[in-house]
Amino acid sequence: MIQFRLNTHSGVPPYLQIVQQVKQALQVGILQPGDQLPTVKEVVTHIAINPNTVAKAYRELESLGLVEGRTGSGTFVKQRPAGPSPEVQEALSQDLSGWVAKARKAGLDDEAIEALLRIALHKR
Amino acid sequence: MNWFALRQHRKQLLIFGILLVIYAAFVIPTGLHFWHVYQHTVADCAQNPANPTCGDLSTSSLFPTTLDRILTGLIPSAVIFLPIILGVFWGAPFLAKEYGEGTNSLAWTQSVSRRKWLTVKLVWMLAATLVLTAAFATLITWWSKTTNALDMDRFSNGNEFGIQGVVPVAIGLFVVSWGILFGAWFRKVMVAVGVTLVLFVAVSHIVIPNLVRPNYMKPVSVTAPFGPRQDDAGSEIPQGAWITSNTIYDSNGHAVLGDIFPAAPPQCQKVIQQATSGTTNDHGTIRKAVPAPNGEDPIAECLDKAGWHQVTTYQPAYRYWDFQWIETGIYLALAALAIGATYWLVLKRDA
Amino acid sequence: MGAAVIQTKGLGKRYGSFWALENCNISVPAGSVSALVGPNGAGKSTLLKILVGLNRASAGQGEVLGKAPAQEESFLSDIGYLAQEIPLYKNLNAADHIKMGAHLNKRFDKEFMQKRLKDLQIPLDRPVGKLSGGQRAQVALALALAKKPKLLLLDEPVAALDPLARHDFLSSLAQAVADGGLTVVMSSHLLADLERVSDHVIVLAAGKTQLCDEIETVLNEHKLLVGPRQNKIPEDDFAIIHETHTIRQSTLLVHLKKGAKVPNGWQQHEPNIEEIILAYMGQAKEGGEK
Repeated sequence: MIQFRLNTHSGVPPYLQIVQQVKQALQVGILQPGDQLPTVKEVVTHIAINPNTVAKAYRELESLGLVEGRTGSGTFVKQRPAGPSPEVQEALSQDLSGWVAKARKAGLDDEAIEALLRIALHKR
Repeated sequence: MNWFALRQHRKQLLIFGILLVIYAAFVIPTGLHFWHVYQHTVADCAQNPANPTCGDLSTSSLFPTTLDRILTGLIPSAVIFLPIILGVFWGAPFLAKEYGEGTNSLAWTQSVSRRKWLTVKLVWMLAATLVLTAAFATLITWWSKTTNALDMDRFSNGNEFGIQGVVPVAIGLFVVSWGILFGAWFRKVMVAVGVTLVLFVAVSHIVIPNLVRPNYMKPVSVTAPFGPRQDDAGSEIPQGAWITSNTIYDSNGHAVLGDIFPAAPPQCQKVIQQATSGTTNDHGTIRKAVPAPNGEDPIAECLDKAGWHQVTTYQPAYRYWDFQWIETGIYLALAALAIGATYWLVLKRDA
Repeated sequence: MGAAVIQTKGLGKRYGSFWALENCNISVPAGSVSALVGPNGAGKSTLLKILVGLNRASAGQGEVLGKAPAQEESFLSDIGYLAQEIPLYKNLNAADHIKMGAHLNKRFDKEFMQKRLKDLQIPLDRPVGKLSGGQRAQVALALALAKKPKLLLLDEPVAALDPLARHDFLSSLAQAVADGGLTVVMSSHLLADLERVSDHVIVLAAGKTQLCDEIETVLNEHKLLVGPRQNKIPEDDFAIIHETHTIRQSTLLVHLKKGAKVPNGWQQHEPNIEEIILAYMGQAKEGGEK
């Protein structure tokens, strides 16, 4: 089961952080269709967060079609978000690791690598 | 609420219960012993009046040992201190501690109205005070039958009036109630304790015994001639009476206050000169009567002839219980005043 | 969120000639966790005490759960309150406090409180005066929650707690809210904690209400605008809450009025709730000094 973290200084609203963490977990395969998400009470016990926030995040995920609430039994993963399969993701991740290693070898520090990445992302 | 009121004050009740048992352990055996000695002595004296102790029967002559004196002193004074201890440990902290520690806001946000909370607590506290002081008063009143028989005057002698009968119960309620009021008023235990003590000493040891008690009923007054027949006049005052005043008047009916020698009429001045020895200091001549060898008192005789007399007022002993109930009424009224004010403070003021 | 659980109109409290709380208008929706924030002496404790009936208002009206606050059983039984100093009877142990709760409340869930304290491993037989600050706070919270209140008012409950105890306390609180049917108003200085636990905020400063709304709405309606100094913004559409200027640049925290668009020439940023709250407190302070 997934465990949420909350970063209070990120500026990202707490409910959005939960949505993102579920999405990421689905992307990388930590969560599979049919898996149950922790109940609202479990989440608030763990990270001391407003239960309405958790409920709101789950509603958001539901409206995205990623999870479904089954009355009485909890919230379950319905499907993975659109996008490559975990295998493709894994391959891409390995490619990127290889590229980072290459960049380091070329003498770039982390900041320079991040800058390159950002430029590449904004090119489109 | 009943359970809680008792649970909250369980320790205080327990401690005073233990004190009562300890006190009884002293009072009952010594009381029995003293009464036995007294009755034995009275029976002896009836058979053998010549016995020197029979001439002047008193607590100190009958119970002369150090231990006796400690016991006859300590046992009554324990009850003198009882109201102080109750005021300090029961009355003053009763609400001051709640306010001081903020537990009043805990109690007042449970599902019990403030009025009910206060009423239940007060009823238990005052009932406990009543039972405890009544127990102590019963013990000391029973124990005192020996000293009462020996020492007669039960109105003014030391604090006997305030520790026997029903008055000590009323004093207990009075001190505890005012302690409670001061606790609600000042909200600090130490301040409430201090003010309660001052009030207790002022009311129960100064104002009431000296200024109020003599006036409960109009005193009986007797006029006696001045001089050798003074002792005869004394016998007009019944045994056990409380003498509240004794004033000398001259032939014109003016009260003679202060030193009587300078105020004496001219025809007696010579007698005074002869019958006294004078010493002179900065303030003039101080004269002291020199006892005549034959036991006569020429000065008193002269003053008597000059028309001087003395008026004694007293409260007869049979008024003892009237006085007890009147004083009880006064203390209970004062206690009721404090309780009323406590309600007002607790219900009307902010937490 | 539901109808208003707390509604005040012109509520005020005067001590002598000093108004500790003045013209306070708030509305707290049912089911929310409302953060009551403001500098020291802003009137937070006073407001909470008036709402729970411990203190009397000098002006205005307050309605709590549809009733005027009063020292009566019918009013008190639906409200839980935890005072700032977390008062408990120091000489009594937790088990005694459970019994106390059961005796002083008609609808008291003894089992709930016993289970909570057991889960938190708080000894029931030790005088609460000998427990840690965090444990005492948990006992007090459990006592307030076992009453099954519809509204819980907490006055700086975590101020004296270490970070772990604070987390545990807030977690207990969040669990109780998750069980449903509970509205919470909690005053605190710890803005970061409030942001995660609350969904509604009341900013009180200088004895007055500066802000009272749902956090999401507050975030949506406030923007941080950065632009050249000489830029003017249409005042009809924006209320400037806080502004800072350098020689060339102005930074404005503004409240957007409905339908307002950010004018050209201004860079728009999303402020976080902490920045917005601080801006309102700063505004009140300047207003007070003028």
